[in-house]
Amino acid sequence: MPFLGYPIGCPPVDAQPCIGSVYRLVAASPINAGDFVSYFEQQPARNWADPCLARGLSICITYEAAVRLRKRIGALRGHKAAVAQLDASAGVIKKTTASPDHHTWWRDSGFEPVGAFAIVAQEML
Amino acid sequence: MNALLPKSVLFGDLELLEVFEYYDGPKLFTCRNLVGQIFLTLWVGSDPEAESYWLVAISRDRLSMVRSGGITLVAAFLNPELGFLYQSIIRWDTGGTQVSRVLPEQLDPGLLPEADQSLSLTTDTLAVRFKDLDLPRKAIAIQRELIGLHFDFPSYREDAPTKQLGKILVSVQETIDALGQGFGGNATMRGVIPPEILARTETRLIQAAGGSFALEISAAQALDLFGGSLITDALGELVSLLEIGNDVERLREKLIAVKPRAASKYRVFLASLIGAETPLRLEWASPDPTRNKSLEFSLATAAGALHTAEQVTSEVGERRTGVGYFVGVELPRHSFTAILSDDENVYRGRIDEAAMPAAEHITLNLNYRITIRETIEVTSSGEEKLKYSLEAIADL
Repeated sequence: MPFLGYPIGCPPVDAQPCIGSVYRLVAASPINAGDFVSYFEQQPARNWADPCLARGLSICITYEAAVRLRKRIGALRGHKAAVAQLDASAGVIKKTTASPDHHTWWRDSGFEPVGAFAIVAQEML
Repeated sequence: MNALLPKSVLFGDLELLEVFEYYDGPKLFTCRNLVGQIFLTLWVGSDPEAESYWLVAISRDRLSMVRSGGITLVAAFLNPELGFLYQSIIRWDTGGTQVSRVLPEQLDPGLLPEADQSLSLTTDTLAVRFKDLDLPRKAIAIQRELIGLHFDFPSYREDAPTKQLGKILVSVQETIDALGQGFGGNATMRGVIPPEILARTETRLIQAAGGSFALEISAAQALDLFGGSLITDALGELVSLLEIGNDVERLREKLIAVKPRAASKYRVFLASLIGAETPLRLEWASPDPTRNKSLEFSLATAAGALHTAEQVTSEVGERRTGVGYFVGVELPRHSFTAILSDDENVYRGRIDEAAMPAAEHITLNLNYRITIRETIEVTSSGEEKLKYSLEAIADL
């Protein structure tokens, strides 16, 4: 069951296998499981307007987009950009906003993200 | 979109309008209340109990500037139009909202966007959409030629740099004037175009409209009783020039045919487009719909056409032959200064290679039959300068 507990029709049928480099802002180093908790996982009882989107995690497909996000959202300023080289086993992604660099990632239930992501080298300086 | 939007007696229920930054949920976005008041909203953090946002009420004008990058994000929060913002804390479990007014100086600077961060979204800022103007219908209704000039200036707003736009408009009008003078029968290279010609080629700027940055321009005079007018012919010629684009041979032929003044003015027009870094889309709507045209003119085409126009205008000019005398000749520099008796004008310029053997025998202040070629040079800033070349000298 790759997407255990997901509602019917989620992830969307037009989501694509997640292949290549993706970036996610993480709260701390070392990276921990808390960096990959979706809104739905945080508040499963809430009546989400889009329960499928709430189960997804945001990823950027460029490092620049992750940095820009951190510059614009002060509450993310202390976060670090982490990168992973993902393959189809990671789940599927889909562009869900107007930004060409932002995708939503529906993680395969069997995929363990903590070991897959590493803080981007220049963030460690 | 999953946003925990605050509900408060201060502003009522909110609906999400546009998300600028999304990260697991909307983080920077606009929302609107039931009476249409818009709030620019920034997520400022969450914990297991609640999420927090800052909301700043924003006018449509301010929002246009923020969307298009004319006002930085931080300025939008630090300089609220109402002088204050709302801080909203929304509980995850109940959705209960605690809202308080805060002053900009009370905001935690660490939660604001960085100072250099601006959005860069193409934004409609003009009230009227060009497609709604329906020029073909209007041209028939008002019995005047209409042209729509669409520009694509480097801007995220529907605005235009005044100086560059001014140069383009002046050059368009002067090209039409010069083409009109040609149709009027006596295309002069310099001097004032007769007022009766200018009155018939005059155009008026009617309005600006959005889509691209577009201008509606109308002929000042209505068509005559026979359904034609000088400006109709001049516009037809301008459209022909643009349609030729940068087909070098056809453009050369056309520029020679329209005479040096119009060729020079067209050259200035091309230079002004390039200077403003904008392509052009032109729509011609005529009271006679068979004349209606729409064409695209890219910057690359303009650059190529300008190159051709420069060559043509430097080769083609007006010849002035008359009795005159030389007051200065510098053979090593191939330069001359002469005065023609019929107009008493002083002509300074370069001696053509073919005229050099004769120039070697010039005696200053002695009368000769002199042939001078007059061409128009256009500087990189679009200014026109008359340039003279000595073509021939003959003893009297």
